[in-house]
Amino acid sequence: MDRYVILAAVDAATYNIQKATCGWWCTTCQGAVDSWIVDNPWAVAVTGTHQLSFTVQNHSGTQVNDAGGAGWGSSNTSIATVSTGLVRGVAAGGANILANDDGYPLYASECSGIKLECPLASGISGSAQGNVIQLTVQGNPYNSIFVGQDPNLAGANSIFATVNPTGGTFTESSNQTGDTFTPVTSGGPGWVVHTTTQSGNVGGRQITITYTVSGQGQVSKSLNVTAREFAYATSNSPSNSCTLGYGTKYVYTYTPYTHPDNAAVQPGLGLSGTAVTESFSSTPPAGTITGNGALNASSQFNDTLAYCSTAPLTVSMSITQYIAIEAVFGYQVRQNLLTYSSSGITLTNQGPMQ
Amino acid sequence: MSCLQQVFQCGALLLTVTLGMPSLRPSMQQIGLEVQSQNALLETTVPEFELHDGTVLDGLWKLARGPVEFGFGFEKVLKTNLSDPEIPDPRFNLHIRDKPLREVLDALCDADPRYMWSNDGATVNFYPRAIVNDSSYLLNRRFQKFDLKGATEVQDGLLAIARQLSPPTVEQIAQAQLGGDDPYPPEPWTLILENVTVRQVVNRLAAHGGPRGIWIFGGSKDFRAFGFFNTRPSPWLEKPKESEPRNP
Repeated sequence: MDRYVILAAVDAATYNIQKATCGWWCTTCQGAVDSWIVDNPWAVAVTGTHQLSFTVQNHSGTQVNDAGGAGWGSSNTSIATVSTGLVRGVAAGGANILANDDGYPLYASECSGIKLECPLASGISGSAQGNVIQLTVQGNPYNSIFVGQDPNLAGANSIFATVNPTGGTFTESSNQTGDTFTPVTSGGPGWVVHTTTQSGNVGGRQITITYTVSGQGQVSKSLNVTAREFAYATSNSPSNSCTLGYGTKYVYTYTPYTHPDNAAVQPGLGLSGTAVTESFSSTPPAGTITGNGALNASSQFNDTLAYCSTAPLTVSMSITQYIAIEAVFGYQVRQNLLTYSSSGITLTNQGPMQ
Repeated sequence: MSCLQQVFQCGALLLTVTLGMPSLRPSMQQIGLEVQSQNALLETTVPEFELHDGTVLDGLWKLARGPVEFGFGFEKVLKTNLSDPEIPDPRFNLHIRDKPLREVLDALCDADPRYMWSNDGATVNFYPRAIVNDSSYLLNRRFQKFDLKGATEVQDGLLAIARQLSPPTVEQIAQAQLGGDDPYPPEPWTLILENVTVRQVVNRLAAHGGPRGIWIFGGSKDFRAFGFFNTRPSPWLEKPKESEPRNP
């Protein structure tokens, strides 16, 4: 027996040739034993792209990506198109993506009376069903959220999404630590963004909504949002300026937030229809303080905490002002709750009546 | 019985001047116009007024904000001592449609019969019935002449009241206020009034802070205090818009 083995190559271009002296030639051709598209299922947003790969499993155990060598096609080019594995979403809907490579050698082993040449067989293919998802993420018209303790965030710090197909699930995230999301139960899917960003620390952040359709993949959309300060006190220094002689008078000056989109805000900037509620954290002295003020201003305005008398009265008290400022921007009514503490106020004789 | 008690102070001489401006004395024709104007205010129809579980002061606040806007002075029923517990105010519901302001005010003080109302020019005054004939009650006390010079804040006016009321005792007056602002324009203001009550003076002090000036008087008999508010921005605080808005 004159039997010998020639090891010529490996994998797709490798042929392991056996020669039989009794007239049989046995030939084993290395090549693919399986092939498939990754990802399956796939998902891509309308106008978005998603790169698929075409994986070939060779008999030798190696895997290669044949995306560049394969031909690609879409079952519905009005939904999705594909080129070299790059799927581009055209419109919401489902489509089947096909890949094939007729020239890719298959693994085969055969004995014959004549000498066989490799490859004995070739041609691989794969397909993957997927969805083009319409995911629209929208904030309020100015993609703004507002800092502060806001009792009325729902109308302001809102983000909404629309999807096609429906039936999936959402997750939300922010690149700003401390941001949380509360689902909006009506008019959704939507969320109210709560931020721990403190007054004076405003700026941009990116909020990302990810939509997952079970078994059909997921897409994400990011929204650039600016955190803005609605109103802030520019001065809250107490001043003992009781003309009446005894007591304490504080004057707070507020400057409403100047909206950078002011040109688009109707009917104008600033505060209007303002209602201010302030209250004592401690027992109101004498019940003489009226909690409903009327801070109405279109620009800067002052707020007064006065406890001044022509007669001496010694009272020690701690006061916290909860000032709810309401403004009407063109698209929404905004409230901001500012809290200031004025502790250790002592109403004592600060000089005789003039 | 209507709780209205209109106060037309046609006989009162009223002079308001801004420092550096010539004195102005209203003619009888001007006074007639003022009476006509205040009557027009009271006869103005309020399209709808609704108060839910509110006090008479809550109702006044709401009513004064419009659509028929007006300024008012409200005198709470005073406690005896500062340390006494608060006097509870009756809470009630009102729903009135297409009635003149006069009738809405009547309905408010009918709902809390401790009070009655009157008007002094464009200001509506609410005060306890119990003090109407009490000449020693602070707001009922009368000046033969009240003279205020160079006022730049409302406390200047209150101080002038305390100083110019007749002896024997110096009246205690306070400004106790949380919320609102000191609404006076920066220009010094001079006011001379003759034969007027403290209530009328305070009405003028509030009105100088804006056309919809509001004052509230409360506290206790041993510590009485005023608060001054506005339902509208003071005109002199308005700033011109820097840019014209456009549609979004």
